[in-house]
Amino acid sequence: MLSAAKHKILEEISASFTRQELIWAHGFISGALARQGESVLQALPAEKKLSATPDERNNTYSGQVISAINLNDIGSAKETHHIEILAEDALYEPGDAISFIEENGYAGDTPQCYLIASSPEAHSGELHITVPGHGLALQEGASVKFRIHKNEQFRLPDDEKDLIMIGPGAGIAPFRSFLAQRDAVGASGRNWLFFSEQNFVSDFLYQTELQNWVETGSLTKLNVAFADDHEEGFSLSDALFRQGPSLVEWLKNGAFLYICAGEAALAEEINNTLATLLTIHLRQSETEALAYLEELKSDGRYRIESPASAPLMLVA
Amino acid sequence: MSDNTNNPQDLSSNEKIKMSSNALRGTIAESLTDEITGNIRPDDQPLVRFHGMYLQDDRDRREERAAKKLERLYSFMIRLRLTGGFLSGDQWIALHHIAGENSTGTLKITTRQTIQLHGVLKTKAKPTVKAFNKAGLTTLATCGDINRNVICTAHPKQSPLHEQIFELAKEITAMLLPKTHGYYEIWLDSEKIADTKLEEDLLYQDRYMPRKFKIALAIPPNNDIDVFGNDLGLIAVIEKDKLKGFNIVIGGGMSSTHGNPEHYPRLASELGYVDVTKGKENLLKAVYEMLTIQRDYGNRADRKKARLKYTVDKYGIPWWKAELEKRAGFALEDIKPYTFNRRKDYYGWEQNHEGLWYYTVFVENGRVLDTDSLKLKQALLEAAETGKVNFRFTCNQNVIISDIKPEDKAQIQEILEKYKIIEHTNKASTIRANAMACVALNTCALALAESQRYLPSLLDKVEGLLEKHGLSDEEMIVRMTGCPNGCARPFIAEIGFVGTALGKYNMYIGGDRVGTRLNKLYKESLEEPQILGELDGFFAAFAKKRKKGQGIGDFLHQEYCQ
Repeated sequence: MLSAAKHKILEEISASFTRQELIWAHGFISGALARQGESVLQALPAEKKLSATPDERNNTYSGQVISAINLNDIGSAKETHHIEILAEDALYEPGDAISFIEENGYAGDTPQCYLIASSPEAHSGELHITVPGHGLALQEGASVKFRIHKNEQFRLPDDEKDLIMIGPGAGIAPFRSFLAQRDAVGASGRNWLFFSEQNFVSDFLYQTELQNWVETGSLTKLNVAFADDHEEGFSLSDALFRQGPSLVEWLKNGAFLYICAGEAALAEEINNTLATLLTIHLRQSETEALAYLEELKSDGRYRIESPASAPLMLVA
Repeated sequence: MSDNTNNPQDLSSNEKIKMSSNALRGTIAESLTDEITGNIRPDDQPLVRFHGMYLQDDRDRREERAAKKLERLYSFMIRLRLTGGFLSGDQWIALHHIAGENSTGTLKITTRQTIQLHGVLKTKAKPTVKAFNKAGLTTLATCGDINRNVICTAHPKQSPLHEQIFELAKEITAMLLPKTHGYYEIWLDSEKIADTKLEEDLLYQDRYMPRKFKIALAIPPNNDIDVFGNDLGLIAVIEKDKLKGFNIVIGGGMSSTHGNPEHYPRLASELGYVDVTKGKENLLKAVYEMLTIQRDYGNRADRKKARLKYTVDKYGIPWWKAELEKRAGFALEDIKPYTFNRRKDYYGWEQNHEGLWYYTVFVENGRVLDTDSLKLKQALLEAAETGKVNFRFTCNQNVIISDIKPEDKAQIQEILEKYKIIEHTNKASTIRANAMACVALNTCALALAESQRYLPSLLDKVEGLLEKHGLSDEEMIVRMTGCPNGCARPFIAEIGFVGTALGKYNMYIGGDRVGTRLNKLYKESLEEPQILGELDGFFAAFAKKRKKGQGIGDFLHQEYCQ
């Protein structure tokens, strides 16, 4: 059930955003809502097409798809498409998103926003995205038009800050951008990525790239959870629990904590797991743990994002 | 002569890894818990072999997975130790289920009388070894620079003394196992050993053997185990149904390298005879000291020259005999006469001296699996589930359903008929029934060409040629490997094919029927049409010009290898 406060915020933004935009916006407004003691993740509106279109003035680009591969291997129940677009003039920063202008029909019935998976420093002149499912039918050689959506709330922290990234499934997309960027500029802060999927053999998205970053030290820690690997199942929360003491240690030392999860329920579960870890390892009460997380949020150190189904927000 | 082969600075990298491995532990435990890769650390690769497994990858999938930003599809090949190829019915049932849950599901009978599983992911390796252990099975020291599976003439009908010789093989196995406790700690969660003195290894020390070491026990007149292809062969000498002793032959080995005359296949040489009528101690002592000599004198600088065969050629048989006598403390007698007259399995029903029944099933290239046309794996499971059979594997990669009491034979026969196993075994052509191929692609890292995935279709065509020349019932031993390391012993086939590149094979001809003469390289890098062309010519000449009773290997040797 939606509280009056949520209704108010949602009503305010619904004047200019679509439903997809609202799904994205939960992260944007999470601080405000959470301070009122409510979960933003349940605050999404019911199916409802909202009016208004984003600003199209200065952020429309053309590009060409130079690579489109399904990252999942034979035997996987999933599809996750890695798409590389050649777009030399596109200006973006890690954390930004793009949406396609659906004049060619490739974007499907419900155009979506995708967090960018590439880094302007590491992938010069290119823009990569990670698309779950098969809704976006882009093939090599296709010409595309797209918009870039600035996302000032979701930026890399300063170079020297430590960063914990929790990116299950396609939620890894912006973190690939962050890691590539930090690797390219030689940022000194430590990086820790949690990734989860169904199957180690077929679903380990960007495995070789991540391994390289671990090898070179750009990625300080990489922990994974693959449900199929363990007879009793093994979830992202299990992986977080296993790393509990170290995680809390990083947070106490000022690490930033970013979550990017496609499903709201999963983001909520991660949030709850983090709270539980704080109660265990910092001997906090549940209330104190939740307050601690809220404080991280208001300090800008704790962000929850969604990789796709995103709204078109804050057009430059 | 002293241990002058190996200057410390010349030791191969494998030698250094072994010596600093803390009794073969290395960092295997850490490699297993590294969750971001299916691979293990480079220095653990040679060590994990001593634990019975090879880290491999699916070579068919490399390119596609690389494009998907996925690492190679790594998995383990895990090999059991089955001395003399014996497995109880209960163990077969356990193995059937372990293979189904943790591997590709195919049970591969090897060319050295054991079973290996392929496609075991790193996360499944430990559960697999644990499940084996629960069934009383081990993988310890089945690969690596150490004494491998001890093989022994497979069929109990070969001699009333089969059981006695088989027991001796088991004693040799036990005597030559490594003392490390690491296997139990890493795979079976045993507690760390308190006092490392308890695992002090007087035989292997901290360096193990320079290379693999293979032992075989043969009961003439069948040379089904290819005794001369082993580092150490023991040929039983039986008089009036009494085991008198063993002829010792040393220095056999198949592995070679294309174009490198320094790296060659070799048949074992006769060394001497050991009497066992007053006890087996001298024999065991001789076997043990054979390993210590090779341990001390084998080449540890160049792994290509590290097998016993090169040490034998370097020092010569007289020196070996003297050194062995010195270490063992007794004199070897002269070789006793022995004769081999066959080198193949006894397909179908056979009975041993006690009246127990045995059914030898033809298993093409040793691959036990269920297909649309043949449910071999299911049939063997049902046979095992009767509780009335054991299993024995042969070095020709077949399985003998074993030790069946006369009153139980009908029940087993019924299962074999139900699954058309008898029909399958009977209809295998003579050439196919005696053929062998190694694993090669897609999992063997050494493979240059296909082998077990290709030989069956090549034989389809060769069968046509044989029919054309009226030779369909002609016994001949044809073997294929995907590289010159020779796992399927192609260099002692009558006709051998050794891969040089995809679709290309060197052709070797002129080995003898019983495995006492190496064949010779006839032509290089032939493709299928050329292979069939050459065979067509051979078969035509053989049908026309052969002497009575002459085998094709002897014929080809006489006509083309002089």
